[in-house]
Amino acid sequence: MKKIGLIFYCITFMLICQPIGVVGAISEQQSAAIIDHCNAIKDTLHKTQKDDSKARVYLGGYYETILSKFVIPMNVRLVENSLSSADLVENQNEISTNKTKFNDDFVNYQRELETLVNMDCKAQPEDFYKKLNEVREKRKSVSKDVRELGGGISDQVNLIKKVREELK
Amino acid sequence: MRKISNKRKTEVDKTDTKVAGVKSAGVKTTRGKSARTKANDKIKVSLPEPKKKEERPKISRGGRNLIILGVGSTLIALLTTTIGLAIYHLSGDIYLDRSRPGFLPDKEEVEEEAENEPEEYNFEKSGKLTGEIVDEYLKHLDEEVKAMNAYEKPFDEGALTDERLGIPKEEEKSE
Repeated sequence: MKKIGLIFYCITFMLICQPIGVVGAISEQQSAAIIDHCNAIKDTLHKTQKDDSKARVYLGGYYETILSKFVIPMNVRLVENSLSSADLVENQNEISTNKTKFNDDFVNYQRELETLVNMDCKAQPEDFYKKLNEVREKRKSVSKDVRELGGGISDQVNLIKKVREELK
Repeated sequence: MRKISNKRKTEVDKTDTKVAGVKSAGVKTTRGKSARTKANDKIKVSLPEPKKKEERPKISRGGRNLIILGVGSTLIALLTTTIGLAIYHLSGDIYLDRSRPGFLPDKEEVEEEAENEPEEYNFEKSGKLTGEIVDEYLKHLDEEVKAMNAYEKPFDEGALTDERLGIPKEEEKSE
């Protein structure tokens, strides 16, 4: 008798929880909006993809130039002139590491974004939204890398300004 | 084809038997030679004419080699192209390629890029370091940083918000 009661409770619990789980992922309103605006959403995503590709090429070029033509040669020359500091070397390593991380994070982000753009948002609005959230997380990582690289380059400028003061 | 050759073989076997019979007869008879000649004539008449091998189109050795070369080179080209494309995708270089259809830079963008391009500068890795050299270095570094920062809000998190994409906000779910 107890067993039957337990099974009854379990089935009732599962029946109640299942729709809550589905609604928890995405609301009906959101699902309808994704289906209705599917093409417009895809256009926006493609535009974002293009803009991000442009940003990657521009920023990647500047990071590479700053690292290879400014940071590394200056640190080598400072060592030669016995003016180097641990902060400068550490900062160079930080920029270099963040640059590699930026490149990798961007590729991961673009892969996810491409998958999202190719998804059928009319047929699978829930999966589409789930993937969209994953893409947002990847984009956040790239955005964080850009901020950190910007900070590293600013630190380099400030550290060299200190060296300049020493040379007066 | 096999049937035909088997049939022909049977006929030849029969003929051999006939010849053997004639030969043995020739030994026994006194008019041996003339009898053998007559028998041979009969055999010649009864034998079917051999089919000409030239019925099938014949490919010369050089032609065959040329075909092998063509097919081989096409297969090698396909293989190397596939490997190249796989590397292009797996390495992520495809996402940096702005010559892809739909990713080509606009005309204005190219002009803008040419205008904002900082002056080419090479800082020597060796030599004495003076205040003037550091000043010049900082001037050029500042130009690079300014050009880099001219790119407004790269990877702005707002680009993929629900609002921007036209999806109602999550708060509206409970309504």
